[in-house]
Amino acid sequence: MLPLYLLTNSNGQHMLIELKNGDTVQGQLTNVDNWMNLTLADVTHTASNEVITLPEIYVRGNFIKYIKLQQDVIEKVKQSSAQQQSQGHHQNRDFRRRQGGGGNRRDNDRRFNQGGNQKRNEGRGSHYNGGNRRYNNQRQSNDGNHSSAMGGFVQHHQTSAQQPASLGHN
Amino acid sequence: MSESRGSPAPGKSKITEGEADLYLDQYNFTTTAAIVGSVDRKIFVLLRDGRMLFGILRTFDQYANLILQHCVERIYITEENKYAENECGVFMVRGENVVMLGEVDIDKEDEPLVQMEQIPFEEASQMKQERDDARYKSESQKGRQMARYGLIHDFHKSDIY
Amino acid sequence: MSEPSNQHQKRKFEGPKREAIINLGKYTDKHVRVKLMGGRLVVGVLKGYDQLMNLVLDETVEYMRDEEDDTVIKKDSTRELGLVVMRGTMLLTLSPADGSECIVNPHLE
Repeated sequence: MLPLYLLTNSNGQHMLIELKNGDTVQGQLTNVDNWMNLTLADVTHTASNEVITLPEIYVRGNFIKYIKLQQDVIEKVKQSSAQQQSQGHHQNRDFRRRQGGGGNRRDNDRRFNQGGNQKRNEGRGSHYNGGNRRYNNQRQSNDGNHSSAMGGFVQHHQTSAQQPASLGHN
Repeated sequence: MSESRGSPAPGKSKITEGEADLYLDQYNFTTTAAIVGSVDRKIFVLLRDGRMLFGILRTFDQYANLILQHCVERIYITEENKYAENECGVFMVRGENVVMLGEVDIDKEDEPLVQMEQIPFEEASQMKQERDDARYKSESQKGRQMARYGLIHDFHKSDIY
Repeated sequence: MSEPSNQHQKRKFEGPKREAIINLGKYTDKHVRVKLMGGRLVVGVLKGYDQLMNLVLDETVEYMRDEEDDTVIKKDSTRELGLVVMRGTMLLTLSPADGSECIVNPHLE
């Protein structure tokens, strides 16, 4: 799951946005687009010398410094996506089979060097076995459906500990 | 923004020679390639406004937009050997504001901190603000003087790292 | 930043949108407050717009900024600009000027 997907699926949630010029905008997210432009409702906009409440505001994506989200946003979004995915399970499977061996690095493969990935994964896998400090309290025993974790990369690295049989098997 | 994994020091290597070669041959020198190894680990992020964030990297994209969980903002006041922390929950940081990021060794990270005094966050934040304001004043004054000679000295208030 | 290759996910997991996420039609003939790149703050009556967020503002007023620190807006100092076309690329935030309530900053007293 990419950051933008997380944001898009946290519609209705309260968040605090700090802008590049230091202003903060607090409100409920109503809409997000591809470029991280946002519309928020019930807004409190704090500038250096004043605080204004507004019914709505539109914030341009490239003016955002960071967004402080609710603590449970990751769990909430994963729950709703897990529900949706249990329906579309078959399609997901077929798609990944078509990808072939390097299939489990979904996002990565598509954007970057396809061939190189496989080898690089193995190298990384063996070194991450020891001293593994993964903070994954979100491990879900799943039916091989990678997207229930936070994105292709993460899931791959979790399974790398049990290596390499799991590589390319899902 | 990439962790440098050049030739590892003897006895302290994180990767073997063979793997290092793989890196050089097939490493894509892309953002994703550099960051992906840090997922689900504690990282520090330095932002352009000078903030230091510590958190567990959950996900990211090709622009280095990051999602950090259990994020903590830490202000270091090295001249007085003090520091302060502030819990911030889940943060989404837009990639363009990141100066650098790297993994934190959780075994070693507390070593310097035990030797420093922890102060309340508001106090530290005030000190940082004062320092930044002073710096901004001196830089903008310099800019104005340079402008008199037709020279440009651009200093943005949002880039004080 | 669209992900055409994640289409199989889109059926289950909604991706970011492609159309405009704000309908500026509801703000026509109303006062809007616009922050611009470079630190300017401008208030005007929205007369027209397009999908690139270029705006036509009438009775536009620009709020002046502090000489020393151009990120601080001086609320009482303005200059009139009249009828203005504003470039969408420079737009940072847009909000209705009516319905906005100014809370006096307790720290300033």
